Amino acid sequence: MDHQEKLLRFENQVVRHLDAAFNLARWFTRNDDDAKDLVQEASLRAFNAFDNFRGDDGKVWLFVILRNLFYSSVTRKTPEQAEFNEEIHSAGEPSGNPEVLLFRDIETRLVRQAVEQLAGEYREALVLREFEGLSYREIAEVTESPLGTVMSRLSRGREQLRHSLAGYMKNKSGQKGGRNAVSGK
Amino acid sequence: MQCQESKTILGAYLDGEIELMRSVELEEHLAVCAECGRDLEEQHGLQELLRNPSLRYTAPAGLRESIRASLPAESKPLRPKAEPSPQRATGLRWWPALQWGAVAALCVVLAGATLFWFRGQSEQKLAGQVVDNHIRSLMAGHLADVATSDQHQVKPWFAGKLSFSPNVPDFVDKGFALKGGRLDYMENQTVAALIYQRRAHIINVFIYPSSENRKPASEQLRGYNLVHWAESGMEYWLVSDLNPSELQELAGLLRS
Repeated sequence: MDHQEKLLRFENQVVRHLDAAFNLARWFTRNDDDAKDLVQEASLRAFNAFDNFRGDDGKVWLFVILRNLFYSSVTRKTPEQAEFNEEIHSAGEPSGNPEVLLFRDIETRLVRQAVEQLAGEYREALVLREFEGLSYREIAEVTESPLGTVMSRLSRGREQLRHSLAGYMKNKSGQKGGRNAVSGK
Repeated sequence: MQCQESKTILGAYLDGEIELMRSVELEEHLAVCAECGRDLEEQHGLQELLRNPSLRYTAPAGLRESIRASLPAESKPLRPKAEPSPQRATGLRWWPALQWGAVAALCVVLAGATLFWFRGQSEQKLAGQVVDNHIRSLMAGHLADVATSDQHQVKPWFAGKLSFSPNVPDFVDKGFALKGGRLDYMENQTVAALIYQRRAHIINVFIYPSSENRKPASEQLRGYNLVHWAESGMEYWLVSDLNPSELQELAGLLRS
């Protein structure tokens, strides 16, 4: 394959999923700088292996590379072993003036925090499904797990989320009118 | 079905990831079991929370450029090029080069002309397919596979059904309301069809991957207006009975 053509194909099939790759990397690493490094390294590896890629769409393929890279060279841990690191997590949170924080920002923080507190294997399945819209089959491919495992991880992950967000969700459904007043500002 | 099973598959049911028979069984159970009904409501509530687009992180500015810059500029040759052997300068050294140059130039011109002709032919064929698909979609009950104005439902719905992920913007504030999405078939492949509505006019937008780059062009076929172009790895075909200028307007919105 001609080099220019390869660059163009790589652009169309891989680079366009950069936001998706960054999102996944950010949920893995929990901070912007590590996520950037991870995406950069994964992209380079993807490019070097691109001649062997058969397909039209590189999203799942890029995810597999990125995930393997994360678990092999960054932490040398599997998601089961990788634990939640409170310090890294809170350092990455942007600080904002509480007075100007809109309702939506608070909600975003709350939900993000709840997702971050999930165990690694639940979190990655959930992120791939909810934020990246992958099918169960694709999640199975990325996480190298059987389909049944994907289904049960998602089910348990969601159950835990519902549990940790129960108070907020109850409050929210009881205060729809109040919410509109705030966001309508 | 027992409550225990209902709880385990509820999420997969909402994701559209269980077989039809089981979803029928689940629906029967949900209709009679109040507790699992509440469970379903809570799942819906959670889905709504997770649909918030700002939960997703986006790549910081500059990352794309720095990745592009880090890619090797030239592929390394498999073996080093043989050094050109030094030749004695002669008066006719440039002559063979000129001949080959002329042949190459002729080839390029011929190939270009042939390609142009083929492209014209295949565009005509495509336009026909697009209009056929549009008419078929307007027949009863075939307009949308996922009928919703929520772009965050339409986009994930396509995931797993297509080998690419189309953008699904809603332009309801600009007078083009998103009505849903559908899988369709053209050019021997499954394509994404987005459905928009302008007043009483239905617009089909067909999207599929393409390596071409083509500026927008308009045409008319069998009383329908079409606008099509190709850029950033995707080909777009808009078709509707809407007037050409408003159809162009939607094309502009999709391209921006």
